[in-house]
Amino acid sequence: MSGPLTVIGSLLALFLAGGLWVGFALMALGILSLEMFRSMRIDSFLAGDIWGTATAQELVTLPLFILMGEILFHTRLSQNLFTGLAPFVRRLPGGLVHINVLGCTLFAAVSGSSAATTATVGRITLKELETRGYDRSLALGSLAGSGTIGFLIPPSIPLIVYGVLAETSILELFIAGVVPGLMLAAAYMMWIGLVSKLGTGRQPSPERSTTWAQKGRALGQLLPITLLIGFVVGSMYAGFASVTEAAAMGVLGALILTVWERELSFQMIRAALFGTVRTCSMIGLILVGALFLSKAMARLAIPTEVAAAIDELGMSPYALILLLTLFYLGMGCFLDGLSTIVMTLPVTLPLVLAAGFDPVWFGIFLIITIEMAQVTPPVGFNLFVIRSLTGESIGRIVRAAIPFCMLMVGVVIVLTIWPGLVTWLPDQMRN
Amino acid sequence: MAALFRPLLRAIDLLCAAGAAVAAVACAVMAVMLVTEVIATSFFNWSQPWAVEFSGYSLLAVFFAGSGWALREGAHIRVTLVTQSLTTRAAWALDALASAGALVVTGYAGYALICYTARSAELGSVSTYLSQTPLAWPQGLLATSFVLLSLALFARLVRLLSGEAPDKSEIGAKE
Repeated sequence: MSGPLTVIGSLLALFLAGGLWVGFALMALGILSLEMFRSMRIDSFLAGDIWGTATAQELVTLPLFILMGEILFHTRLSQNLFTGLAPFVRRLPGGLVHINVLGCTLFAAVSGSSAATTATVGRITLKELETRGYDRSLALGSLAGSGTIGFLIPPSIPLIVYGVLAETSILELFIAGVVPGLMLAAAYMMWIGLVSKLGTGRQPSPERSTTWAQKGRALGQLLPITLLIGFVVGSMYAGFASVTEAAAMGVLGALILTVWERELSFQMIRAALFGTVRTCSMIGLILVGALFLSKAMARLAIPTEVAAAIDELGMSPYALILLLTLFYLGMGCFLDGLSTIVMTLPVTLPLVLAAGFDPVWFGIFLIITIEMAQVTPPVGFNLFVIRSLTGESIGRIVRAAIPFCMLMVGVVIVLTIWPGLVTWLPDQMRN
Repeated sequence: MAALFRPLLRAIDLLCAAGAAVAAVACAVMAVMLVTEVIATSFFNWSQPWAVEFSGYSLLAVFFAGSGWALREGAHIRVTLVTQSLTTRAAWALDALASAGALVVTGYAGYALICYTARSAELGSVSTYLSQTPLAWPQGLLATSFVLLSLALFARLVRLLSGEAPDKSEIGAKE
């Protein structure tokens, strides 16, 4: 490794291990590396870069989708998802545990956050499943795994960030995430069915049968979220609205839903807005730091240097993907998903593109590996969300989540062998 | 020490909370502007060019005006794996060092943004949109946001040195 790369790598490890906030660490590293290795005026470069990032039009969708999720978090959506889905899954092997998967998949279609998806669905399902005698590990693990689908099913906050950093169409990324997201949900449901059939865990008491009238009422409870998904995602796919317009209409749709449910109040709006500011402040700081560092690294020609070093190893494309999977899984043990994406992308994206992979495919691959990081200790965010919901130990939640993490590895392998599963839908849209 | 700085810390907390309120209002304004734009364009074929421009300015407020408040709330992400395994005294020292380091970085960025704003004001730079908004206004808001973040870091450092809990939410700080 060359001097600048060694110094930057060492300082990054030092800053992060020392507890410096990720955004500050990245910005400090950008400033220091330019100060040490380039003779240039850094203050105006930094200020111009922060200004450019802070007013970037493509990032306007972020607060809107976050606000939509925050508004929905304050509705009776989680209760409606449970009662609406229950009559349709009770006879499947695994019964109501499937609500974790289906509920998360549906909520993911109106929220871009994995943590919000896990918290919204889990706050009702975990208690209900416990009361009805379902196996606790299966309930915990399926929620931990399913919560991560929020990253993959559009609208997804990490996909928006990836799209901005990789200069790839956010709409194409959103469309590309649908099939892998549904594959993941199907894999989870098959696993739940298999485990329940084998009967290794605690068996629940049989669910009461429901009449057609009850099924109709249940469908009625799912109607608002279904309409909202159609409103937001459908308008994007059908080409009626841009991503930003769909996000704005999503906020309007969520507000209409709260009025419908008579939940609209000043306190609720205030809580949703401050919740949005909290999340956006966190993302904004990381983004300005990462984008500044990536420009600093480009000026020092570091991505080119890393690409040349990897090229010298003569790795096959599949070996590169295997190496990156292991690398991202390792990173996921120490950093949250968003930080991992923004910190590594300036170096890894050119490598992957040079190996012949599609940037949309790589975005989806990256998101699934980041999803795994959400359920791996010690910094798996979903683990903390479930701990705060249940009070269970992190160790127990991790053990419960391991099979679902392995299913994610399986989906990554399938998508690597058949990349068309990711790229087919966006290709159709382009044509 | 805490008693000596108490009025200053309270003033910084209030300023940061005011910044968060500005960010929350900017978020609401952004949503209203864009919803209006979509409805006006789709149903009345009447586009509002200012909606795109001002959504960008609102975005900078949403991202940064509440950043100081978010720091106090423990919302910003850091790695706590190493500090958690240290003794209380060593973790405290490292936290103080990290806060001081972050203060230097933010202070520098704040200084850079103030110079950037002053230069725009001197040159009379305006936006490229029809409104020709003087850029010093939104840039000034961005610079103020970084000053607020610097003040929040200073307050955090003072709280740490005087033995107080620096964050309102310990859970957020861990993530």
